[in-house]
Amino acid sequence: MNSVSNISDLSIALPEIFLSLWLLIFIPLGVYSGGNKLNRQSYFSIFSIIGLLGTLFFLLMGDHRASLGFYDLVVTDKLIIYLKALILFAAIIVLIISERYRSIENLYIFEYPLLILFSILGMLVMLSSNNFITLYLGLELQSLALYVLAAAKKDSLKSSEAGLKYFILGALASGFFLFGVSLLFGITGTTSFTILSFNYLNPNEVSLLLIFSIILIISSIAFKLSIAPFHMWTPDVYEGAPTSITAYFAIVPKIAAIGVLMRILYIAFIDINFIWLQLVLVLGLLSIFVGAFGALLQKNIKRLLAYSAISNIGYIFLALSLGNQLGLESSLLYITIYAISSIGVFTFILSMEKDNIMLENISSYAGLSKSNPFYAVCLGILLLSMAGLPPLAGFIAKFYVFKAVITSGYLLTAIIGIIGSVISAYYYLNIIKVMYLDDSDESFIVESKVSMKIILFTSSLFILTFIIFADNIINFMTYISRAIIL
Amino acid sequence: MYQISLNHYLILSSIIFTIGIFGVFLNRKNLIIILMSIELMLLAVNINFIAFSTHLNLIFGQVFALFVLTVAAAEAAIGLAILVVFFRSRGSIAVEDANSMKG
Repeated sequence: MNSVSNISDLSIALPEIFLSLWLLIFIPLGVYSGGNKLNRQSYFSIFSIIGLLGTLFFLLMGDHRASLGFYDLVVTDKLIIYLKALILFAAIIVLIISERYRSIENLYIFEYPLLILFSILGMLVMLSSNNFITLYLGLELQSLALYVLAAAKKDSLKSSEAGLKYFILGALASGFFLFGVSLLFGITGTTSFTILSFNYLNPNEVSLLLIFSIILIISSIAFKLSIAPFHMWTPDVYEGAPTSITAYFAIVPKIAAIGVLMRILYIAFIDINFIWLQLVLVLGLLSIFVGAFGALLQKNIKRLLAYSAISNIGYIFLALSLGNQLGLESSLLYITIYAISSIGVFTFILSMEKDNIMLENISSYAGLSKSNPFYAVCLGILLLSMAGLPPLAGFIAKFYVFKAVITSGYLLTAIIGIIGSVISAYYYLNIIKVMYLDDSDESFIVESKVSMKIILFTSSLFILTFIIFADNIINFMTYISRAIIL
Repeated sequence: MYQISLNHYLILSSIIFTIGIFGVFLNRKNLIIILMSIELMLLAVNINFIAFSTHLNLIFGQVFALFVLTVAAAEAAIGLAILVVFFRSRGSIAVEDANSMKG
């Protein structure tokens, strides 16, 4: 499978080791230096951003060749390094844009960046796992931190309820995952991805139990990705959790779970892909439609974005269900563009604040084009891109997914997917209509930090001008997706 | 005399796992029962791992079971902590009271 080179174990896991050590310094620092004093909070944010930058440094400076380590429990290659870098980058941006929200909503506690760093560590471990045991530990480290983050606003009923719902359904998904893995262990006697990919799974002797275990494993990952029909928790958790945490949920864990799914489907279970191809295809189409119809009547922007995330991840599932190099490439392109445009949209939502109250209803954005033209234009570009209007980045991402689907010979699937995409364009355009055509009785001027304005501007500029350097980025995606040789 | 075989362990673990799932979904009264049901599911998985481990004569399954036990303890601690936070703001731990968001 992967060419294995001889580098020492430690250098494979250097970013994770660095981040763990950073966390070990962070905990006593937070506890013993008056962790919850207001004037010290920005130091903790800066401290955690430096930790993430250091992790990014060790990641990019390290060896990029494909290699296994720690008794084949840990793996690294170009694809993993790219996804890890994307996660770290997105997490740094989310930490920067949540500063202002945290000061408004009394979320100035040092546990906030600490738990975000813990969940990042979990995601890095998840992505580098080459064995279900490593994957399980990373997944749990990530999820346990995320459950607490969802309930971070302790005095808010909605936030604690969101944390509770997320915890119950997340723990249930972990149970399914473990049951699937235990059956897989019983059938094959191994849980290592590379060993499974060699010859332990014989396509000619597939037992019912094996199919059952693979369905359990895929559905638990689908749960973490909020794929329909496992999406029930998503709108509630997105609405109830503090908005900066919602931004984090919508962007960062998705990248990690997609990477893990690629590794499970394209390395461990590639020989028996006839079991999962149809399943992943149906899940993808279903969530495109659940996301499109669910969002139509939403009044709250966070709920709407929850459904938008469901349908966006649906397109990635559609691409992954092809089981070939094209699908892998287009899903990588899609998750990258999804992450960048979500960063823009959530920067916008986190800026919308009037008299220290966050504006979460879509109707409160009425007349924004007159009072705050900069924000209206930026959000307009981002939403048009998500709706799939050419020549914006979202269109190119969807175009490549459907091109891959059609070249692989699933014309009907592509047509159904495009219908779903057209339906979902309605609610994106509706927000633009509210901003530009509806009148509001009270106008307000948004005052936000310069850093947030820069991030919003840069992400919409990226989305707008993506077509100019699209070729280079697509070539880059092809290059890194070769890490998984099919 | 009956011999306890692998199948018996698997049937036992499947039954416990199913009880756990039904406990999560059918229970309408108390959130703590849901936490107990989740714990039951994880324990069923442990029975599976250990049964397969002795049957296949591979130590790996027992290692995995130890990890699952450890993580299950952490999960129970965090679940109870979130439950306490919920109780403070809602004043109840009934399942039907977790209903402030809909749509």
